[in-house]
Amino acid sequence: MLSDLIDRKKVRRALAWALYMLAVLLVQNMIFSRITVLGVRAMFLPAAVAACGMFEGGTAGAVFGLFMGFFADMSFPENTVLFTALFALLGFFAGFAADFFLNRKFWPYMAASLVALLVTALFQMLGPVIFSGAAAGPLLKTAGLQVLWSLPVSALIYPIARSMSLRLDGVSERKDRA
Amino acid sequence: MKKYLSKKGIKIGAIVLAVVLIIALSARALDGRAGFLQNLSGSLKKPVQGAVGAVADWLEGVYGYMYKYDDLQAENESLKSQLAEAQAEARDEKSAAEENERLRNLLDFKEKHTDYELESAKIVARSASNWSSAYTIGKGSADGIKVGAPVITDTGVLTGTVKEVGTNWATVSTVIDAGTKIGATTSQSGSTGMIMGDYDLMKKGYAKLTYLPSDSQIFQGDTVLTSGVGGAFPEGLVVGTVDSVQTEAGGQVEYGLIKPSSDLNALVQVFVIKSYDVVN
Repeated sequence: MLSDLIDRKKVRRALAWALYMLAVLLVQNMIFSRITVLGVRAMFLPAAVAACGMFEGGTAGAVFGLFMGFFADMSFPENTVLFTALFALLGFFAGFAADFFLNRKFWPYMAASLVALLVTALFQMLGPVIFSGAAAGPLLKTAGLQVLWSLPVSALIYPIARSMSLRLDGVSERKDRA
Repeated sequence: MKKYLSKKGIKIGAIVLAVVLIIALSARALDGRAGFLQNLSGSLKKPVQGAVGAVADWLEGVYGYMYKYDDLQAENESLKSQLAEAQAEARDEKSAAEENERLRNLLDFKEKHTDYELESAKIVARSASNWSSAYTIGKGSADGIKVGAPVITDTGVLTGTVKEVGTNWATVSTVIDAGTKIGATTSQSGSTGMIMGDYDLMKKGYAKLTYLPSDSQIFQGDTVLTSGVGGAFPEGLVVGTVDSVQTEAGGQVEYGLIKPSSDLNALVQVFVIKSYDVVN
């Protein structure tokens, strides 16, 4: 039977993270596209990828990042493949860091998010600097503000991603872990 | 750790590289036209964007009301009964009246420019990026919209150009986008130059009028129009006004800071010029 071939737990997990991705993309594109502080908008998608990588591991983080990056590249008119490549790598390295160096608590997550946000902003900045010959000074300011505005939103993502991951793990497995 | 990286890292790196190459090559081949997946995603997003946009507008309205609550409270008693009636009426009629107004303006504009073939479109989404200035409209190649088409308001003010087209959606780069290059002339002094986008100015909502001849002069308050040179834009579309005249770092060259005549953050409906007569 077809149902025997499907691992429902894995499907449920994938669907839950897909829904999380959709929600994050909608909030970023619909709400934060309208809110600017000093002319700069928050861009917290890298933090959402880092959260997935930390809670689900490097491989899942990379797959999640690949899809998130693909859809983000569609929404941000100046990019073609930047986010697709970058988010996949960020997801992978967030998972890698959580497996070997970081615990999955709030402050380590914030540190990983900060790195992800900084790396993304710097790569976004590189395009105009290299291809359009734009001056780096004002772009650095934009990149810095983008990271700064994104941090509070990134903090809000943590409890959502954490509780989702724990729920998906199931109560019994959580007890085993404890 | 080494095992982890060599086992998973290489595989993931290879997959990412393959995906990136496929996307980059297809983007190059499509040159502004949306690919199948992008088109599908754009089409699927359109109704969701519309609904979420409406909720966001409503929330903005609620925020605005709360912000002015103190002032309103003082006036509230005397205006209460009138307001309730007026609000109910206004809610129903506001959107229709606004659209009517826009179309009436457009009719006036169209009478002056009989050569323009226009396509009306609603804005369905705005870009969340800090590195470009763009919005998405709900019309696309199915309605005859092409890459490079100028996009104007109901009063004929240029807001941007079509950058990418899907079947039923299109992305429009605004006149303040860092990649903007528009041949322009000032209405008062007749100086010709180029409107150029700039990353720093884009953040502040401005563009630059530069490449001005050395003997020309521009003044604060000058209206800046498209020059029509090269045929990329029709001649005489209003772009903005000279907000201030500045000097480049060397102190030799002057440029004008252009404030767009359309409020790019408040646009609801725009009109794509599908065709026009090019004047040589």
